[in-house]
Amino acid sequence: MQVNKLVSRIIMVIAVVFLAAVPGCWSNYELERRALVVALGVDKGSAGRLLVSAQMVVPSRYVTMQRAPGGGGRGGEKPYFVASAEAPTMAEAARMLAKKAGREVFFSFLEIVVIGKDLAKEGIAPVTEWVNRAREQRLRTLLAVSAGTAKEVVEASGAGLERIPAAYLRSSVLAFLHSSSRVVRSDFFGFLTDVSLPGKEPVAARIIVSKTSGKKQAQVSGSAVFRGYRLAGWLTETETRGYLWITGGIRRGIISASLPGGEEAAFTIRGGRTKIAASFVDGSPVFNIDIKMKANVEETHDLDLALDRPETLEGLETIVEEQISREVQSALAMARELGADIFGLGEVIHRQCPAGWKQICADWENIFPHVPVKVKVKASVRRTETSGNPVRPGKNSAQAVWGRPRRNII
Amino acid sequence: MLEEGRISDRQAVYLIITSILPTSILFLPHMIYKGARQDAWLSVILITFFGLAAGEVIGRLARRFPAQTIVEYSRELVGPYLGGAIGLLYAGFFLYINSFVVRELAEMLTTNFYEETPIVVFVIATVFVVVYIVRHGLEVLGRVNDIVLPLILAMLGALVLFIIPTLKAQNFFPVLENGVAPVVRGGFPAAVFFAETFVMLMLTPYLARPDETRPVIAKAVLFLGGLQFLVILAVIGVTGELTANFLFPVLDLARLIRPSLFLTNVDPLILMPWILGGTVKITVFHYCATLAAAQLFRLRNYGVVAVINGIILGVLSLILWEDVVELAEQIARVIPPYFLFIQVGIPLVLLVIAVIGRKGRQENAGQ
Repeated sequence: MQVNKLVSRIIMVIAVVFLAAVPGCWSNYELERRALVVALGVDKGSAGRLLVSAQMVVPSRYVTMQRAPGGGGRGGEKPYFVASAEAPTMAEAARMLAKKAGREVFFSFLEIVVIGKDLAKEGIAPVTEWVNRAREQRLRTLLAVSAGTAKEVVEASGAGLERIPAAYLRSSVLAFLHSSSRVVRSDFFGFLTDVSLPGKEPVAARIIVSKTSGKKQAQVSGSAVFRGYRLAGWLTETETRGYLWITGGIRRGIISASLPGGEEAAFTIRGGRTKIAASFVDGSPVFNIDIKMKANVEETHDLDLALDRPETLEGLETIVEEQISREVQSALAMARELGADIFGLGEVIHRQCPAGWKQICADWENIFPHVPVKVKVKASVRRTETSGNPVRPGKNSAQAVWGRPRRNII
Repeated sequence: MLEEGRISDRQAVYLIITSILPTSILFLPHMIYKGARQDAWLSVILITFFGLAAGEVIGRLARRFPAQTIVEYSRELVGPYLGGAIGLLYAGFFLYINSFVVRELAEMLTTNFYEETPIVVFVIATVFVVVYIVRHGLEVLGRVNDIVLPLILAMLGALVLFIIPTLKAQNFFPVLENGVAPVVRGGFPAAVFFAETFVMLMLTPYLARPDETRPVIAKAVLFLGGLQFLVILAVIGVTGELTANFLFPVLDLARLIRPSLFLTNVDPLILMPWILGGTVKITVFHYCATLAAAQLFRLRNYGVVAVINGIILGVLSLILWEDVVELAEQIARVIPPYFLFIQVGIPLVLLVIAVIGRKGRQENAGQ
């Protein structure tokens, strides 16, 4: 009994000693010891190496800045730090960034990866491979291509209304997509999915650097078209919207179109749906793209427009449809020119006519530029927002009551 | 008797579910997708039927020998020597299959979350807990699982719920692009997982109502099939073609979701139930291995066996495979026929012998 008691006490003491070691996880890194990378730029370096630039948040400065009125922060210090490193591989470059930052780099909060134009032309597989394999990375991280170098995008200090340029870039892509549908929300997940499919090519947002209120500021502008992992060319903002119409990525946005009299009018997009049907005619594929969308009248410069007449709205629908058709055709033409099936038409055949796809999939790259595509757009203009007819100078109300004024009905 | 405790039907169903679910959810989506591509969901249906058929064999054996484990009745059926060999085979097999599970869990943890922790730490920690639970008996294990399983299900449910908005219907087409062969090929590695109901070969006598083994297995298999179906739908619908490249698609799903603007990077949350579930799974197998060894050598107490087996288990899981690629290769391509032979083949042979030789309790035919 005595011995048992002694043994259990010894075990107890040992257990308590071990317990004391438990709370501190080993190989831990506190937040203050880490450099949180929020934006990463990758360029072609010298001698086939990769030039990696990183924007890293300095948490202490970030907090100080938040508290200080006026947002100036302590001595005007930026809440972030930019460094670059050159190495043959991404992983190696990331470690070299740690040297420059003096801290362990940490990628869990990476918002956006920007690829320089020159590297993108040679293929971005080194970047996507590293992001996909690393455990810290999230595939929802945005992927964009710089029209110039990625370094200048990462170094651009303009941050819009945000404090960190990277946060600005992310929210700018998302906000611009939602309000205008002229940008693609491209992340690594979507990119890798499109690359892996035989009948679809990826598209990523394009980023340019310009001067905004005295600071260099990066901003999205159009998109980059890939063939496999290689940059093939660019889409303008209009072509990007055409792309979104076909792929069904349209959110909100404004369509500006000319009325028959030459005046401009604006319509808000209130959502759209796209159906693509593939069929085989004489052994070669044919596509029918069917776009249905809703729009509201947002603005008209033709003050005589009779917006209280149903016929007018029908006429406006035709104008909207034509404008959308132009956007779609411009995107189609550009994709054909680049020889990149960014719409995933190949995948549509694959799903709808699997047997036919097997015969042409090997040669799809050559077939796509010449494949016939019929586009049908059906717009329905539903509302005129909070106003009826435009306010005209003069006896606006009297005319409405006593006699029909001159009205343009389209 | 070695084991005085009894578990209820419900606890048995729960135990079977937990002893299959953690690894099947984690590893199967990738393996099935590699073989069956967008038809992987069909493979799951196929494999559920297989699971039911395997359960039928085990359930019928249990009906004939409600008070005995396979180690005991195999002696009765094929004589002391051959029967003893079968007992030894099962005692060893439970250890062997368990060493796969221990290594899988440890590899998953090192790969995804604990980059700098040596793998031996997870193996030792797991084995320690497992031996501790086994020494407390089956009833304790059943109650532990009553807490663990709801946690796993809640976590999985939340994951599937958050992933629904990102599902893409087109990922499922074309259906049966290359015929039925890929569906079968995809289901092949999954068969081993769905035949893991064979733990009932050891557990039947300790059910409060041993005759219920058949419905217990059927319920568990149907539930597992349904859950696996939901998960494979989510995986195909979201990660699509990339599933073939992701080693742990469900973890990738967790990485893709952003439940809200403020709540991001939630994937470590799904880690907790996984460790719990994995531990219970290993405990069930370890319990079977220990019980089989104790019965084989006609011991009165299995406490020491649990410890010795635990040490063997830990060592095996560390030395059997060089790397994770070898482990995955063996699970997907090498072991299925051998494992299926032991999980279903031998019980089937024993059942046939019992039926022909009119051994055990007779099934009342016609009812």
